Amino acid sequence: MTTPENPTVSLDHVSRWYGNVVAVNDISFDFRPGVTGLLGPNGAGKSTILHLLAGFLRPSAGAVRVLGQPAWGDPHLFRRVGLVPESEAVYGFLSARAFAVTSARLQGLPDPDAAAARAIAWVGLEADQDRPMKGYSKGMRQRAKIAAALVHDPQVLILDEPFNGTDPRQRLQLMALLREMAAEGRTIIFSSHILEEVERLADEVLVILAGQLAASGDFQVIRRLMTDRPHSFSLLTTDDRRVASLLIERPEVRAVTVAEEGLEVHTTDYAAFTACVAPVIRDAGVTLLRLRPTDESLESVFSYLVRR
Amino acid sequence: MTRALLTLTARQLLGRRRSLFIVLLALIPILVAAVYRLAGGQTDPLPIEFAAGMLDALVIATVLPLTALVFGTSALGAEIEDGTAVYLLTKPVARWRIVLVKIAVAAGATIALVLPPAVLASVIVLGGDEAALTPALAGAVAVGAVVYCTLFVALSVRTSRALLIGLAYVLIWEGIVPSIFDVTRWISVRQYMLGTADLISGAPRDVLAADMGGGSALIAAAILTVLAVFAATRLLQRFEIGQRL
Repeated sequence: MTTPENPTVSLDHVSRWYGNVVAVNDISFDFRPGVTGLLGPNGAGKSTILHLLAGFLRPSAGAVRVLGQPAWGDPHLFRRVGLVPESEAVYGFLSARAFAVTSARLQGLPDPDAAAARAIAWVGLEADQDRPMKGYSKGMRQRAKIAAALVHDPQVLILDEPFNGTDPRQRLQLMALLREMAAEGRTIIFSSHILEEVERLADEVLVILAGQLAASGDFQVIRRLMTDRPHSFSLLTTDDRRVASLLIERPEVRAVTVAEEGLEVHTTDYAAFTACVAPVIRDAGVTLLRLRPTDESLESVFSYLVRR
Repeated sequence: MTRALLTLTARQLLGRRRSLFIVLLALIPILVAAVYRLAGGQTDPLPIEFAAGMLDALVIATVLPLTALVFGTSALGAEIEDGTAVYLLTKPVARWRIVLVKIAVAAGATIALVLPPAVLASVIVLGGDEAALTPALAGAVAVGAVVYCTLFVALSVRTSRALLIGLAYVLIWEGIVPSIFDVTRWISVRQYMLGTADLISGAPRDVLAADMGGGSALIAAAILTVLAVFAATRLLQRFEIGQRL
């Protein structure tokens, strides 16, 4: 029996390697009821971690436990665990309803039709539930997969990039559903490479980079770290040297470099810099031709967190 | 649970394009028998000799193993290849049950597609003179379908090249090697089929001639099948999603 104090899912110094390639490197984390997001760029190791949690991969080192049991090699755990894979593959000849009913039957549920109807309603797929899935859009397939994973009302739900292909309305609907499920005491673990998805949904977050845990904990704290980090911008104006001399006097600007084309500006205060840069240039009678951040990729954000 | 698995597998297996190719392949014995009959070849070769060659070389050595190869490697292997196996493997279903159902569907489909055309072809050639051939042929096809499908299901869990390796096995191990090394008949599914036909004894000895006794053939077939089921179950229990899914 797990309580809010006890983790429902745990990674204990888990590593996974393929030959000489280390996919996951010594990660420890306890998942509790609520929503936990795995955030990281593509190829960071998020899917490997989810597959370890779902018992689909054997850890090369360390231990993965789900609801008190070792995750690897016990199919009966899937009575209480649901997995939504990232792969788009579905049984194209089945309708979403038939897919959910089949899942319910394979779960050994007493009333598969009722369980399937409830899961289909959860994901809002009633209108298209009887059409073969081969004619579905990406977002509809995603919802059909989620319905099939929810059909047995699992205590732990693992979702790999669940919002891929969904439109904004469907995304909000799925997020509301997952939050509702978490509020009822379930453990929801999902991966995403999109910061905003994690921000909107997750109570806790694991930031994964190159198979390592770059940061973990409350999302707001990690978000602040991401926002407060040094930022770089590339500027092009009609008088770069003049603008450089003006900007270097600003307290929020740490350094200005005259580049081959335009200026490279480094700032420690993202909000203050973006608020002041246009007025400063305009008041000097110079025209701003281009302003763009140079380090906004997730990789650069995560690299910063790792360096900290 | 088992019924859902059976239905899902059957729909997936028979809905594939390659199943159409198998239907055409299974009809070849009828075509060959009809040509023989239309050619009026009643003396050279004699119908019994022609039936012997047709059933052994065409049905037992070619059509049945190829049909079993396609169905056996598709029953689970195709799901692993296209990624849908993840939905099956995330259910609380014992791996041995998955393996047995996949083998049952593949073997059932093989028997259903191979046996009726083979019986019909032999009736066309022999004109109903050898009615007792049917049970022997049915027994041989059933044993062959089960053993071959079990081997190919296990192979498909092990490798994504199961179709290619299986084809090489059918052509080289079953086709060429036994004619060079006599001892290999003990691990030849074709010999198990011929031995089974011999055991049922409805077949004249010169139609489905076996190099091994029927009892030995059945025991060897059973041992190989059990070993292959065990191997397939073990491989599926240790299957890791990153391997091929």
